[in-house]
Amino acid sequence: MILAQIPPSELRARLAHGRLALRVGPFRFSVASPFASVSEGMATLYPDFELAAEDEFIDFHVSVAPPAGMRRWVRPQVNFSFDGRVPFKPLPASQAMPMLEWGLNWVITNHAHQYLILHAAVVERDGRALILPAPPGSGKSTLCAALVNSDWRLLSDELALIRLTDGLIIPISRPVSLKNRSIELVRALGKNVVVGQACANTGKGTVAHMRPPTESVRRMAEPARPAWVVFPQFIQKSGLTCEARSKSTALVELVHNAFNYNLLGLAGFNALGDLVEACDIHRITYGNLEQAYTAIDTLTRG
Amino acid sequence: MSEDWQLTRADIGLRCWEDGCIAYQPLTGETHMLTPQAGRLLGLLRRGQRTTQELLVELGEDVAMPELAEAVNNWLLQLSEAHLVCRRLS
Repeated sequence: MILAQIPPSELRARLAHGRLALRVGPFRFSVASPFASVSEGMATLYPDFELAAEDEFIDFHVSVAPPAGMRRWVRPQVNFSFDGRVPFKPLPASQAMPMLEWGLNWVITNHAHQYLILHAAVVERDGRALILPAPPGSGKSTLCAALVNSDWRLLSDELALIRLTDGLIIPISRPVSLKNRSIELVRALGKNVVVGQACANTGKGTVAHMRPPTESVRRMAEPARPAWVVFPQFIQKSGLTCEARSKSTALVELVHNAFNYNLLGLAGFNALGDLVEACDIHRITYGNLEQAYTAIDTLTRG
Repeated sequence: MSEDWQLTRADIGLRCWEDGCIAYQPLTGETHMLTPQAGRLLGLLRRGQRTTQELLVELGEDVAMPELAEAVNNWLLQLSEAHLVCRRLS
């Protein structure tokens, strides 16, 4: 059964009582929230996700709910909690859905150490994965959204999960995080693109999430072998540049993009070494999505 | 008295490519970027301890450069400062 098959009223009730459990890639999440914006956000962004069975082990129990006390009514706020702990300061209640997405990222990066986790978007075509590691502001998510609305499959917009045992990338095809100008750019990609409610005045500006393509969600159990690493950099009004990166330099750059490299020790080093060994590595700068798509298409078909 | 060199730990990670090498020291958790030659030297010590003279001979087979002895001493110094190798007096 998938989330879209639950009527809206039942979805709200399940969320209110913490009885919504989803399969999200290799993880099982239970989500609780009394907020209508979360219920609507889940219906918009997660309709194709399978529900976990009643007796399935849940990896992470999370909730986004109002804090106790007056802040329920006066300038309402929202807390993210994980297994009963509250790791962050509260945010305005209007940011409940983005906070859930950010919280899920935090939960994964802080607990899923059976993987080397890179801060990177990952897409796949013909069984081969393209990794796009980049800091915030580089245009990574916008480019990722453009690629998965063409002929690439979304593996992840934020977190490349590299399985330590075999180096394969495990999909976790959650909604694509967009901010500010990229929201309208992505909406304009096509009629099939679904972008959820935009949320203004967050710490990142205005944010919204794009629903992952149905096909990507349906194939979330299919890992992919890393084949390319491309470090993207969007520079307004810039022309396209593309240069091959040396493997040793790339490995050091990837160390800086990894969430848990230090924690994994030698296993993390070996996983990154194998990844770099297996991939063609480039850096591109671009001024618009069409340039970036063309460059990536050339690099990956060459 | 001869001066032997060895790794500080047996499980030091090393990956080499044409343009350079990367070493990982599990004890400190640090990742080090090395020249191809320094990486080659570290690779020799991963196979077992060696004297400076043995390193010079083995590296001389692959690395053609003037004043190799001085360069080897510099690389050993850099590697030892990174806690990748250490002297063993015998």
